[in-house]
Amino acid sequence: MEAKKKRFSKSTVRALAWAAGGVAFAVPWVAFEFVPPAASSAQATNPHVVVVPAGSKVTVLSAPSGGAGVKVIRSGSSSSTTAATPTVKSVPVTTTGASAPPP
Amino acid sequence: MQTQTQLRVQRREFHAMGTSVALIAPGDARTADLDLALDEVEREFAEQEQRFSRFRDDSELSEVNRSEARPTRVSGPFGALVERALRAAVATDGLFDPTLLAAVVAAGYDRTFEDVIVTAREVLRTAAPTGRWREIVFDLDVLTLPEGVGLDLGGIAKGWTADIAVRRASDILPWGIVDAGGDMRAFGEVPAPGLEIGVEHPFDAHVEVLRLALTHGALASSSIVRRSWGPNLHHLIDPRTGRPAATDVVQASVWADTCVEAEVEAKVALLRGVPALRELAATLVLEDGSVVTSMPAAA
Repeated sequence: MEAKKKRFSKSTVRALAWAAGGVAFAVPWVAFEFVPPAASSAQATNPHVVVVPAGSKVTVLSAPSGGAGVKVIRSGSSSSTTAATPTVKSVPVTTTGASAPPP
Repeated sequence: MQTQTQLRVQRREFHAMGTSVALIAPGDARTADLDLALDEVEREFAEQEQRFSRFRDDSELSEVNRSEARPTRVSGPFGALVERALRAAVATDGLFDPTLLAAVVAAGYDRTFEDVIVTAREVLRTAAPTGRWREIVFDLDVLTLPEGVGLDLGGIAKGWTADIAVRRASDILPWGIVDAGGDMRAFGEVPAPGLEIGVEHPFDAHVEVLRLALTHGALASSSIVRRSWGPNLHHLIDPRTGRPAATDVVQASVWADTCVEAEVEAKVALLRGVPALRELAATLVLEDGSVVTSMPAAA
């Protein structure tokens, strides 16, 4: 004789449906929590506004010998320790970062 | 240490080599001098772009790359840069390799970067062999590439052009900077405390990770973030593997006497990581966002 197939009761099915609906409702809200915040309006309108992330760390190693034509400008720096990145308020003459596409 | 008074400057820009090139000059320079210097610098970039672009079929580089192992007579400037590139390959024991064209193309960078982004691909083709710069024969002005090898002089050509463009500008202006998309060369007697340069955060150009003051020499940066067209797909090929470099450094900025040297060393620093700072004046941004620098602090 074939075993009788087990069926969920109506109340169980209803509870599962409510739970599934709740999860579907909550997922987008949870996801929105992890979306990075948009740039501030000042930053959006003025590309020269400089905001330094408070958590960034700058580790200074001893400089190699030789007269480098570049110096690091940092407020409250020490020469051989780890220090928080300073907030830079003035606008630099220019910037360097990723090199641009080659010719 | 306090931030010192910023020098007053004027800035003019033009587009060349796929980037914005700026001439930064003293704030009190005469407009006529600035215009003349800008014309000279712009002419130099236009001339060298025509010579070294791998995206122009009629460039000298494209002609050389089509030579298929036949000896090819090259122009003086072309030969000079090839010689510099080969010397850099020797000095870095192959970490800088001017024969990575096939590897870059295999990684998907086979058209201008804007077009690569539009048609981004997800799968790497087979890694191409590297290190074949050792087989190049360059005798006076005759260049012979090994079979199946093409030159990619993109970054070093940009730095080299900045190096020679400042000669023209320095005949007209007392001091300044030629800034080719973040690869820059200072010229003349830049007054103390120097020109302030912001080192951009690789993930957000509006954020500075460090502020520098440049008085002479050159500063160049290389990054694996900006020109990326997929997971682990970017323009910086590791000659040891023939594939886009797997490194924990996402951006390297290096100071050197010339832009060619700074450009080469920035790439080497990206590949070697923090140990490279023992020999270089450099700032690295690591993938966790931390910054490591061996650049000296201002007094």
